[in-house]
Amino acid sequence: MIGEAFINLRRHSLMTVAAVTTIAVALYLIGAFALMSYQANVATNRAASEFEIHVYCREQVKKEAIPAIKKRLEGISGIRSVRYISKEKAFNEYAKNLPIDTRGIPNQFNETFVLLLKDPAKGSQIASVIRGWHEEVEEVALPEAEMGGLLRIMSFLKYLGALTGALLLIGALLVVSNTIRLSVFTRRREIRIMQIIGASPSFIRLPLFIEGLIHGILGGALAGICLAVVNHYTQGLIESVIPMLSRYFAPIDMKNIAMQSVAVGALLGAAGSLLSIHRYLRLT
Amino acid sequence: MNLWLPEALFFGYTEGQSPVYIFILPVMIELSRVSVTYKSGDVGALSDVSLCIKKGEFVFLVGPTGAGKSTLLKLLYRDARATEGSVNVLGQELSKMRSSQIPPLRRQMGIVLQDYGLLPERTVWQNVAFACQALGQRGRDIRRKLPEALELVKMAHRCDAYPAELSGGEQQRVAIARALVNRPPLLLADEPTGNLDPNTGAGIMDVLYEANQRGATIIVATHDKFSVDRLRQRVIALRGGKIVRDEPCGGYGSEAGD
Repeated sequence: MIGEAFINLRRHSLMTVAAVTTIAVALYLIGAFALMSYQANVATNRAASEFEIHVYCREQVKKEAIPAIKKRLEGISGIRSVRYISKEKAFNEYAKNLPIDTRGIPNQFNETFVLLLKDPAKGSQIASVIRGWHEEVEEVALPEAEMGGLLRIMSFLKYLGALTGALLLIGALLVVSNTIRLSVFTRRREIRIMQIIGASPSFIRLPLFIEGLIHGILGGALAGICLAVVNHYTQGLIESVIPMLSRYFAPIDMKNIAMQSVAVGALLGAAGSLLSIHRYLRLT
Repeated sequence: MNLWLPEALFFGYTEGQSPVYIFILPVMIELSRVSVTYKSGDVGALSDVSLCIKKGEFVFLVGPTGAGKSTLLKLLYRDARATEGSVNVLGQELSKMRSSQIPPLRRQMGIVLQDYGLLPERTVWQNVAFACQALGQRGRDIRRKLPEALELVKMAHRCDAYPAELSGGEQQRVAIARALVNRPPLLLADEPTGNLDPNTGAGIMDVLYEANQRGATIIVATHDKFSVDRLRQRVIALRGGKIVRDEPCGGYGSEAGD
């Protein structure tokens, strides 16, 4: 049966090539966008987790007041977590690194809160809010502002990737479906003869289904290879051009991509041919 | 029936089925007050047709174009449905049949159509073998049956040729071989010599006649006056969707009269 399908694929080789390459292009684009979306998501999350706001309290603030301040900080919308570093702890951390310089020097550190945000883009906004608490807060320290802009781009890419991916998936499905439809049309004589001699419907449908499946698998494999190769080079490229950014991205396993691409291709091929066979192959 | 021929050449002996059962069944086809009308207008392809065909008969269906010959044949292999009446083929009532039962029905008969219906990208051998493969038969059985079928139509020497390399008559012979390879008890032929010159056509009719001699029931719809007059078998003449003549050793008759 599978052998039959391969023979048929070779007979209509031009159509097979057309279908496989179209599916490969679609799957490649889907994969590229999916990867982009995935990386954007990972980067966003990592950057968000590294985005810390340091709040330095005034010297007059007493230890008893700390819990209240902490609760107030937690209450601000957009705060993921608040961590309290007492002035003693801060001093000890500092002293650990520079033991000679700090011997005998009084502790001039403030009571510190380290804030983690849900959305780094709101960082400056939250910081100005906290700066407004003049009684308790002496200073609020933010990481560089450029992070915000970059992260907005990432967010955009994430949604773009998902949307485009979905559209391309539908497109690829239509391609497979149409290819099988063409197959059915091209082979209508053969199908008619099969009906006349009394072949069962599954005997007629099965080769077409297998062909659609193979189209999908081959397209997925081709796309997977291209994705893996391109990904390898772009990772190297990003690392050399924007080293600061690259640490946010997750490493991608090329074999994994290729296999997933083949799997998606197979699913696509199966679904598309089932759809098409059901709609266009009328066997009374 | 020539009882001295080897059993494998007997028609009606479908694999796994006892030949005795088939021989008991005398009536192959029975139509009872069958009408076929199309929804588009009052065109009646067939009206109130009744006939009975027994095992081993050779029947010519004749008549002018549009008289209903093809429609009648299509009823027999369920390519068309009767709007009225009952169609009984090989013991099965076709009008009540579900779509899923059509393939098994067709497996019990051989069908030869006017346009040969050969697959262009396969050789003669592969084309005839196709009829066996589509029914899931094993390679060993196929290799056993094919030479006999090709010998019957005298095309064994061209078994590796492609249809494009064959003349019309040769292609039609291959189509007949394909229809006969599984030794069906019934063979239906719709204008098998329609595209062929008279002599080639005569050759085709002889093949069908020989198959009949070996036990197959044959029904041929045809315009071929020459062969009908020559073979003098049962002739059923149709005109305007009705049977106008049914003779045991008939001739073609005239188009205008009878």
